[in-house]
Amino acid sequence: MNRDDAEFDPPLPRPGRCPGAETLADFAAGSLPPGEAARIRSHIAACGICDSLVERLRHFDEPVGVGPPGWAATERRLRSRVFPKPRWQVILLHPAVAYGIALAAVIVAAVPGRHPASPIPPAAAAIAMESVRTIDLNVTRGVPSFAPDQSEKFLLLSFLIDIHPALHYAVSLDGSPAREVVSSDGKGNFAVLFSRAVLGAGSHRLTVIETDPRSGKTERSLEFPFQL
Amino acid sequence: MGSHQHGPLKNLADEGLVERFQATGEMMYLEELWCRHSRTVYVQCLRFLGDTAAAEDVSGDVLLKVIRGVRSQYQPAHFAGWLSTVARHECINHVQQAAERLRGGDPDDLHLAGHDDPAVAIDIDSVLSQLSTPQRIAIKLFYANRYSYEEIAKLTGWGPKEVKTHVQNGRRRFKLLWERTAQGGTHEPRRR
Repeated sequence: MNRDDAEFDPPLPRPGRCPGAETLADFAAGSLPPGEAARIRSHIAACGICDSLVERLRHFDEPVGVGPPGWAATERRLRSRVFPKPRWQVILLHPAVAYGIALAAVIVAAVPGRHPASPIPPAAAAIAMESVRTIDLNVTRGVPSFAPDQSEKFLLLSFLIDIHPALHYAVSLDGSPAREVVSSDGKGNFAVLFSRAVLGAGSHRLTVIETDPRSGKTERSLEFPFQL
Repeated sequence: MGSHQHGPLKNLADEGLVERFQATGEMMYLEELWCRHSRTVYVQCLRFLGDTAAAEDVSGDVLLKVIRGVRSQYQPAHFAGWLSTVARHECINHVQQAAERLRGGDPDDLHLAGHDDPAVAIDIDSVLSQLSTPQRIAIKLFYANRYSYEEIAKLTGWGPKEVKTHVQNGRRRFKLLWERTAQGGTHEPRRR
């Protein structure tokens, strides 16, 4: 660019205040009365903002193709903003609470018989605690193998899958009847507690079944093989 | 979503879902509408705004506005068309508010301005119409709206280098055409 070009200042007038969104959209759609349309046209002749908006409006209703990258995550965030969960659901779905409830339920189920009432109740913490090993099934290659430990009573199997909020999920271990599960964080992380009684040493397969509750149709079936 | 307990919502048209929501207030009807239209709204906003964060923000506003307005403002006609109109208005508002914030919230004169001399205004229009669309918009934003390159980049979604190119090429072409028009005798060539 030569010096003359750089010093040249196009003699454009200041545009004044922009029309409102409705007026501009109506102008772009050609639905304004002629007098009003002429007034807006004169403004657009000087205003880059409105010129740019009218240009963009031309393409607004063009067909929408496949979902944009990252749509699944965006959809989850938008859904939680537009349809917020009740407070009690937010608390119950918190991973720490979910783990606690699951562990307490398993312990209660595992304690044999009823104990006679003791004059001095045992410390609740002594009953409600159990060290649990977490087996992370999210490996990208091969079949993961975990060293068995015969002393442990439970194993927590964790995995991550891409979920859709409108679909339901169930897991089945080694072909056993499937049980419905809920993502611990609502984002696709799952943690399922198993008794070691059903998880002996050897090969196992956790199957995750994704179904559409409206049609009852199985959308996907994901396999997580592992070795103990 | 408990839609499986309440019959095949998928068989209902949008307008049927709206009518049922208006009658019962049950959110499952709105959630079905959400499943059908949320992606379209987001993509339209993304295409318009050119920025994923802004598109998510605005499409959330659109969908909330629709949910609030569906009982009071919506007249059963064409739901998708109404939704698209709301989305259009929200996108325009978003850009106009961003433009005003960059101006420090100080809007220009209340009247819609034009050039004093109608003949010169016609010449300017004629010259601008011969620029490419990005050049025309960039020249107006830079010289008429007085935004900086960085501000224009924010408002248009163009990269800073792209803005500079459009402004410089647009100015060069404007000058050429303007001087050519001046030789026709309508206006005096003008320099800064």
